[in-house]
Amino acid sequence: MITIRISGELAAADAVTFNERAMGEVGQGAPTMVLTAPYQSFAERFAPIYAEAITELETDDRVTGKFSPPYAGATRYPSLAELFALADSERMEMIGAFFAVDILRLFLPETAAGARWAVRSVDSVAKKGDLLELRGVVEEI
Amino acid sequence: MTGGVTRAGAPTEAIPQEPAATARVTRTDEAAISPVETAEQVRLLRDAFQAGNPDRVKDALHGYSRADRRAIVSAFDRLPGNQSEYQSFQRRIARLGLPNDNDWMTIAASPTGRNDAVARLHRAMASGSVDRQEVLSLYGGRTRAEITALHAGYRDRHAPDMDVEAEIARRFGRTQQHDLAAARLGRDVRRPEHRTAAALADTTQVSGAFDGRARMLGEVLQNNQIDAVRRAYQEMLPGRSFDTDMLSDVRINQTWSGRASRARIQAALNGDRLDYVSQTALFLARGENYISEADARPAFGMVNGRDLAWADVEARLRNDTGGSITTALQARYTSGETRALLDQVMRPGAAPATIANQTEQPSVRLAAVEAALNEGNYLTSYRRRAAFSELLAGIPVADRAAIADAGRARPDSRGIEDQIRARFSGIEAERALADWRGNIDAIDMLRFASRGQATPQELTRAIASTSLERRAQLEAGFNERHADERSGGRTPFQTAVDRLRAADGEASRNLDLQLNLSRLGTPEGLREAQTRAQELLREGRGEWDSFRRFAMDTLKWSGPQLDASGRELFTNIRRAEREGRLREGQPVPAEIETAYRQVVADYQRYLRDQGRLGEAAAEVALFAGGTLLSIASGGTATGLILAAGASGGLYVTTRAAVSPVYADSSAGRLVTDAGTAAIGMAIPIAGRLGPAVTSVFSRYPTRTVLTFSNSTEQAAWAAAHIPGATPQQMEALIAATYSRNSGFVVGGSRIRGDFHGASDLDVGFTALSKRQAERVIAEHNKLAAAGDLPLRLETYAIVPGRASANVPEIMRVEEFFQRTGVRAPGDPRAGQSYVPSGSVSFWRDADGIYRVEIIPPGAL
Repeated sequence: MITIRISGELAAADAVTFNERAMGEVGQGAPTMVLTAPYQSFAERFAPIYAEAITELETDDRVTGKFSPPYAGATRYPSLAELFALADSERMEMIGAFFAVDILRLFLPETAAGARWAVRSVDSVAKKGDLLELRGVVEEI
Repeated sequence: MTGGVTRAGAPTEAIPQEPAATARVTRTDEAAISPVETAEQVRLLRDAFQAGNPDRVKDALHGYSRADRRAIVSAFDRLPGNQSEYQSFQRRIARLGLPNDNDWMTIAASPTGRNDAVARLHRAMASGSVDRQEVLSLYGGRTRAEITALHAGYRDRHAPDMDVEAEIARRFGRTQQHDLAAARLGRDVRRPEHRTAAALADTTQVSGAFDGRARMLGEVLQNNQIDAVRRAYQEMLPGRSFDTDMLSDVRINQTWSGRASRARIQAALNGDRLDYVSQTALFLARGENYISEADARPAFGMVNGRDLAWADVEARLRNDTGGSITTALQARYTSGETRALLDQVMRPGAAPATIANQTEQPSVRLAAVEAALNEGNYLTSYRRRAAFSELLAGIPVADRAAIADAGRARPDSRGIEDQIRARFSGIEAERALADWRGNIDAIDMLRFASRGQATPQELTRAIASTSLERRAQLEAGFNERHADERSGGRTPFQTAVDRLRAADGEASRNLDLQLNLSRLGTPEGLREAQTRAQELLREGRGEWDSFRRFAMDTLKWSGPQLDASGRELFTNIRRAEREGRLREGQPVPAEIETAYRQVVADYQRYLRDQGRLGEAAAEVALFAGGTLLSIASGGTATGLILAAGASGGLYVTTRAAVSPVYADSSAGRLVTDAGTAAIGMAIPIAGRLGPAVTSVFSRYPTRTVLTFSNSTEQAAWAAAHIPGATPQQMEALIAATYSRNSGFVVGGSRIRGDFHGASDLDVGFTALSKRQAERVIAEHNKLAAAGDLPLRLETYAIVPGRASANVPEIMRVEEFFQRTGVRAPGDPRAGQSYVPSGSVSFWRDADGIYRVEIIPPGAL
């Protein structure tokens, strides 16, 4: 079951939306969001997206003729399980560059007319026990 | 429409769902109108209110859904001064005495969009007040029905026609309300007696229940139409008795006024004019209910007619009153308009007169004026004077000489002006005399307003049409007339304005607008206005003095907001200067440059005089320069102030909300949430700052392809034409994209020219996949975050073929930068419009030639 808390208060899933063209525009003092969902079901849905992205990145490496590490110090692309076992900073470097919006899209609508909040940034995506925990900042719209 | 109709009261009866064919009308609560269109309609609405033209008010809102109307009026309400325009409009309409059941009135009466036309619809049945997607309730006595636009005559090709009569019959059943509603909706109530009968049958139509009904019947009687109305009523409502129905409600009321009303109604039904007038006189004499002159007029008009005499009324009532009805009335009404009217009809040998001009007779008006002057001993002086002014507002100035003559003809009258002086003192006497003489000018109005004795609307009206020259005359005249009020280094004019600003925020805003911001009328386009400003400045010293005064007044009166804006503005400019982001701008016209320098000098002098050394004098003065130019441009008529921002970006702030928006210099438009305007003034303002950066399209106004021999040249050119970029940054982009066999395209605010210091660089990639683009962006931004590159790239990967919920498929990157539209929900600026930026493309040909293509907005 997905739960969303805005500044600690429970919020309905359709009360939160995002616009990928407006990510990163965060005002001072904006409310925080914590989204939790069962990790297993998340992993099942996210795996094909992740696999396709890695294939594209490998293709890009072949075009440029060099391996571009997806996070500092990487020597290869991590599997999905390895991704969630990385240090937070390494994981978020990769997720921030490629997957933040893809993950949001698994949980939140992009066109919710009645939405009250819009996600402005994804600051942390981590596996916490059996749960996926996504932390970010939202803005009231 | 869903659901049906309920009959108010218990029990509630559900009405069956209507057939699908006629059930297509649904309520919509979401506004679909664009911000630009909203701004345009707001402008039209304001113009209509200012012009006092109800038809234009109607036009400004006609055809929009309720939600759209609400969006328009909400935007209207947010702009300073608009509410007062609306109130002024309403007052003018009221003074015109126009009926309030027209459809335009329905619209105008509900500027907030919250009070829909429910009740008024019942009276007016105006198609214009029902939008096609609305469902309005119709009340008929105790019955309520929901009426759609279809009922009221709206038709379009998507909506099935409806048999209005049948639909109404189904909803109301065969009731009195049904017939009236059907007749009105079908616009079948045409003959006067039918209309009157319909009105009489509808108890909700008659205010004051019995009294109102008696008065309406009196009017019918006056016109000898009792029989015609009775027939019409009974034709409309077969089986009903007009007389019984008229008396039925009164019968159950056993109060004195109920019995009196019943007597009056019975007299009217009997066609007995003497009895009707007599009963009305008795009603007046008993005085249990206040009865207005308007109520008494039809009855006593009969006395002043050909076949009745007051002596007959006396005789008729002798038995009822046990005394003289004349004495009773005179005891009850010692002064005022009713007494004046009664005096007219009770006067022995009074000549017949028409009803229409009864109250316009000078002697009647004299009585009313004297009453207003002499009554109200328990009121404050201000309240008494206000009541006097209110009465005078209804008497044309041209008619007042005749009233004064009537007073002089009466031996016991002291003359109106003497009575005013005896009754009032000080400024109250000044205002009352000025009101009576009808010669209040803007100077007086400003003074009265500053003492709380004129409404903002009055002040606005008095000043609204002042020209540049007139405004200077006003201030000089005020200072001269009130020279004795100079104090503390402030001129009388300044003192009056200070006092007004302290007392009334709304008046203050109006004053700002009227005195400072609308000198040159409505904006005709800033480009033309700039020329006008130059012409005015060339005309000589006198005009310059006026300009200077406007700028200085704006500075002085706008206080902290301007100071804060000026400081912020110049902090940004200095930062941009330090960072080397400011470049040479276009030259400023010499006249404006001179004007600007004088403003700076004046303001510095002003600060010295006011002992405010230490303030950021030059900064605020420079802002004043922008304000001056804005005033000169006429662009501030809507409350906007232009200011130059860091790096040559231009901002517009509203005086109330400080809402920065941007200028699209390439498109020649200012883009604001209040609409668009030409941008002719943008270049001079930015140019004056010297340091302004202009868009790449200033140099390349048409689609242009340039060639370079290597990437270093290409990067150098890019850095020279893309604000904020450096050759190093452009080389990094070139390396990242060319190595992937792609080109890249720069667009967005740094190409459009409306960027700010923190603006990202918008880059699209012509032949990269989404993941490749994301990688290039991420690696580039990592360097930017470390301070190795100056600008971050926009993180949204702009690549061909990409589409998402809020971004239609990108066909070409250059096409993406030509898009226009409204920002999607979820965007911090959702609902605001955006305009094309144009683009600059970079690529390397297969033959090794490096090319750049500049594509201005609209040139793809």
